[in-house]
Amino acid sequence: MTEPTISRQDFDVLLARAGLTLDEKQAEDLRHAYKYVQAMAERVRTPRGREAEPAHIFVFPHEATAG
Amino acid sequence: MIGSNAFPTIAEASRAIEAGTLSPVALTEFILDRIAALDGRLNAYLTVTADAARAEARDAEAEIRAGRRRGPLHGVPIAFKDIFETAGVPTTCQSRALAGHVPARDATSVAKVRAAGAVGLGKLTTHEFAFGGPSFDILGQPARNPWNTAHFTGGSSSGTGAAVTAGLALGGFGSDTGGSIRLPAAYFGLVGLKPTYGRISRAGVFPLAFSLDHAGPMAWTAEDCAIMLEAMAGHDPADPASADVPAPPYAAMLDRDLTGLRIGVIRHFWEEAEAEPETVAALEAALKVFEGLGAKLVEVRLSPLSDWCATCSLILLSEAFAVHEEWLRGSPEIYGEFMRMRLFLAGAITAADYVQALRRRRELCAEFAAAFADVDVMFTATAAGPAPRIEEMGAFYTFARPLLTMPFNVTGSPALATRAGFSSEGLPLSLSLIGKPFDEATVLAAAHAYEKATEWAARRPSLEAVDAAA
Repeated sequence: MTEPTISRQDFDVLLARAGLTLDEKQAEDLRHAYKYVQAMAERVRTPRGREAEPAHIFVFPHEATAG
Repeated sequence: MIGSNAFPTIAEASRAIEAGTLSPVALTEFILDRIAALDGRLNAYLTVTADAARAEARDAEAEIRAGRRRGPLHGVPIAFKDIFETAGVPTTCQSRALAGHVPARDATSVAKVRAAGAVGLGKLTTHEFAFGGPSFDILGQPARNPWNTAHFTGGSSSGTGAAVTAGLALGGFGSDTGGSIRLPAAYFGLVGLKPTYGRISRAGVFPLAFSLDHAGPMAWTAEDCAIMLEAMAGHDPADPASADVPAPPYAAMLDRDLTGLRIGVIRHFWEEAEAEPETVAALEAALKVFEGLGAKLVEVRLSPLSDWCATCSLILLSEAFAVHEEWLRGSPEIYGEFMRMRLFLAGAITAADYVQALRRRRELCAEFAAAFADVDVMFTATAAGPAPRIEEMGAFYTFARPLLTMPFNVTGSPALATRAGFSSEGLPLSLSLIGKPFDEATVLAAAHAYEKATEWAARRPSLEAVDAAA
């Protein structure tokens, strides 16, 4: 198994922020799997202008529009 | 007879019912007998609604004899993945969290096929909440693969795949958020169609990830998928993402001459997924078949496969976490281990990660639309190889290697998986065809032409092997 890419202290902060309560084995297994989240998060941060819109934008519900 | 492979496709059954040479009642009894004989080893069903199926078959037979045949699904027995709500019938998502849940109403797509006269056989196994599997610590057992029960089914529409492959239903409902129709279709040697996002209503389907979820048909042939899609598709105000785009008569549009059809070949996807040599050979042979049918091949290069998968996975995990947040915080032990660990991992994703994935999604969709300027349909692999052994599947396997199906959940494009041959071990191999938004007709026609030009659809698994594994 490769070394985790995040310290236990930092990972515990993420888990606490998410409101999750894990046992010791679960926390360690997830800490080792966190590399997948990091790799994905890096991949979606390609160079783009600040104005680049997300795929989902706000639209009014059909019934809320006039006419 | 039960152990044999002598069972019809939807189209064959439909034509025989129309001609009066096949009784819906007899066909339904025949399939119920097969379920009783074989499902103890295949675990395709969580609930078999035998009495209701018999009653529906009797009603169908009476209506058809009275000259009121509703269409090609009338009297044809099919089944529903257990994330689709069914009135009065347990809908559990194969999770202890929903054990005993009995909805009052049918999902819109279920109601539509019932209105088309289909006979409902029951509810099919799934990965837990269409995400956590293959799991042995949830409600019921995972479906097994009739080609070799030691090998993975793909997921999450695993029960649908097992049922259709073994003749325990003529067709079935699947759902697809990252490949859950197409991967089992690949590992079972079926045809599975994820239509355009918005083409089939999601109302009454338990959500996995709202912006990636698709419902669709799984069946033995492209023609069968066309017949099912016609009945399932249509605008539904109850689904905010439902598209108000008319669905054409797909089955009548199948016999299309492929001469001049421009096929975009996304070869680098299967290279980046490190496709196995037998899969690569099958894909190259399939391309030659398409050329022989008159199609013109065009090489297409897109962003790396891992970019598409990262985008899909971050969105999927974030939206799924939101759906399950209350149970995850309050009673995580209610899930099987794989579901619980995958959703726990989702808790480590930040809001900024999610929004950056949505921004990447817009870029990738624009890139894919531009790539379609010079082609009519795209071609790539469905999976990097045949079904792996079931014990190889760990909690995080979907993140360890890129999935070839995920790009088309990102784009919402219609995407179809169909068999492209067999490995030396006798396991199915699969290719994918992807269309422009709402152009399922071209995808189905290309798959139908390929199916007619090859012999793969004639091969069924030996159910004696299933018996031997018992």
